[in-house]
Amino acid sequence: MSGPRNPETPPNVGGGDPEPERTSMSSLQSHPDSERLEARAAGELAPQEAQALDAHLEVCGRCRAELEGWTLLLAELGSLPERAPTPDFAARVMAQVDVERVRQGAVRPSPLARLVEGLGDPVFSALRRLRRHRRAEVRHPATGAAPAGGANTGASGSTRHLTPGGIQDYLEGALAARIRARVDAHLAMCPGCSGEVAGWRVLFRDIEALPRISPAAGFADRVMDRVRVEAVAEVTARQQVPLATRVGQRVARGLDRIRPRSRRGWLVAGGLAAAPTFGVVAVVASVVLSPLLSFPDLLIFFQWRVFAVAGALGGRVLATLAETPLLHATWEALSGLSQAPPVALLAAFALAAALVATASLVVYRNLIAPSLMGETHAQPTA
Amino acid sequence: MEYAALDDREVVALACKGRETAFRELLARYERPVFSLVVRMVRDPSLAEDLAQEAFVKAFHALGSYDPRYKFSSWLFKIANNLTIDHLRKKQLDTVSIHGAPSAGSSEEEARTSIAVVDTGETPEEYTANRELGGQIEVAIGRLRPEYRTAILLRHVEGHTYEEVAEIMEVPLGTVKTYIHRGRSELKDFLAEVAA
Ligand SMILES: [Zn+2]
Ligand SMILES: [Zn+2]
Repeated sequence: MSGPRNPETPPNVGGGDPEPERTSMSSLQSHPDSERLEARAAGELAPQEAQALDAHLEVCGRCRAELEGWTLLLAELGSLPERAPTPDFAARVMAQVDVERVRQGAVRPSPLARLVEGLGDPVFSALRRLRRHRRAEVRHPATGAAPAGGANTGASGSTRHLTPGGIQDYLEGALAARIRARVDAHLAMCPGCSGEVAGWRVLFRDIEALPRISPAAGFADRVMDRVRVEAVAEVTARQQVPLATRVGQRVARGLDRIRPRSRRGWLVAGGLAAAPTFGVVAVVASVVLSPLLSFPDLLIFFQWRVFAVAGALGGRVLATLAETPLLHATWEALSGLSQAPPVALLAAFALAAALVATASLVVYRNLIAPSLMGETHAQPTA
Repeated sequence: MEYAALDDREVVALACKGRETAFRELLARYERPVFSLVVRMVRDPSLAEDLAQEAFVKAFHALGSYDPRYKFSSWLFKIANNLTIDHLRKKQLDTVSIHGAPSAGSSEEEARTSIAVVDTGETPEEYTANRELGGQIEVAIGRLRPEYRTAILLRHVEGHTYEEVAEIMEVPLGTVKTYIHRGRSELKDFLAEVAA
């Protein structure tokens, strides 16, 4: 069953990256094994261990990619409902433990700590087994029994089972090769998970076996009765002729290609689009509010700057251009504008800003698909 | 005119030149896929016929605006899907006003109505349609939320890629993945429930 490769899967970059730089701590020089990365993804490493590993991940793209894969594989864990085996199991365990002493013992090894460790270890492993049991229960609902954690693993004595999301990615061929190999290895020795995978395979097969359904006979005729073929041809022909339209379509496609794809993207784009206007408004406002500055002064100042830059950059060409009637007329218009009362100018700029903001909003609302149908769809609960 | 050798875009180009046979070829290629999706969404064959017709008529009249860089099938499914969803949304509003508490004559009637709805989550027409479509997997699919259903049908029955499904449904790729994964999980639960 090889579905198309899921683009969200991180590329398998094993070995492609340069070795990480040598860092001061010796533990960072070797790559952590998959076991540890898997534990990191599941959030099961002690804080100190996790920190050391994160330091390595900082400099090592290869391990980062693998971690991403594990995260993907384990991603759906959090959304699964958890059911404790007995309501007060954890409470009964914890009643026998002085948590604070165990915690301190774990941080600072000392004679006392070692003593406490003797007490703490069974508790931690009991809790870890409890976690695993919960998961297994969730994940192997068909068999009802949790596969014995540790029965099917090597040195570490613990194993993690496949999540529904992981199994689905696996069956669709969406996993990176390294992770896929690990999954294969796990399946080879975990009857619980291979049973689950078999169940999922059946579901995939059943869905894919769904037949297409034919409409009642004569469907095509009924459609064609309603289609005005000549009108379509006419409209299309008209649309295809003008060069300007085609150029316009090109531009639109170009814009479409660079347009933001996410809500956040649109917000940023909208903000950027509106920013210059707000900037101008700010400048205008400061001019209006400042008793020392006036618009004519400011325009003359800019005129000087523009001609200075033009002179420096283009010399004759730009100077000639500057003397053309068009530029002169533009300049006149701007000067005329400067004669207008400042409040009117401010209002004009505010209006422009509002228009830009509204435009951004409209674009945002129209181009971003509203979250598809039925936010309030009644879900029959089984 | 031998159409078998032509791809969708070439057939569309001929349709744009006013060849009726090209329109018929597009219909022959897509009437079943489009109808299958729509009928599984609305669970009512005669309504599905109307919506599928509407989708083709609308698509054909808008052929001039079809951008050949996209797959024709994605474009067509997008139109069909939008029409279907609009219909489901409208129906949802109607259903609320019909089954809502205010319209119920007595509290007894109200209770009966609400129990019927909660029990199966199906209207009577849907109930019949589900039985007509037959098979437990069909029933299970019918119980999925519409967006899960669309995504799974497009992916598995029509074989679209995740990107194409995202394009058709106009939602981000990650959302499509979530729809499909959750939908499949629910299907699995439904079927396990039936088997038990
Ligand atoms: Zn590394
Ligand atoms: Zn397992």
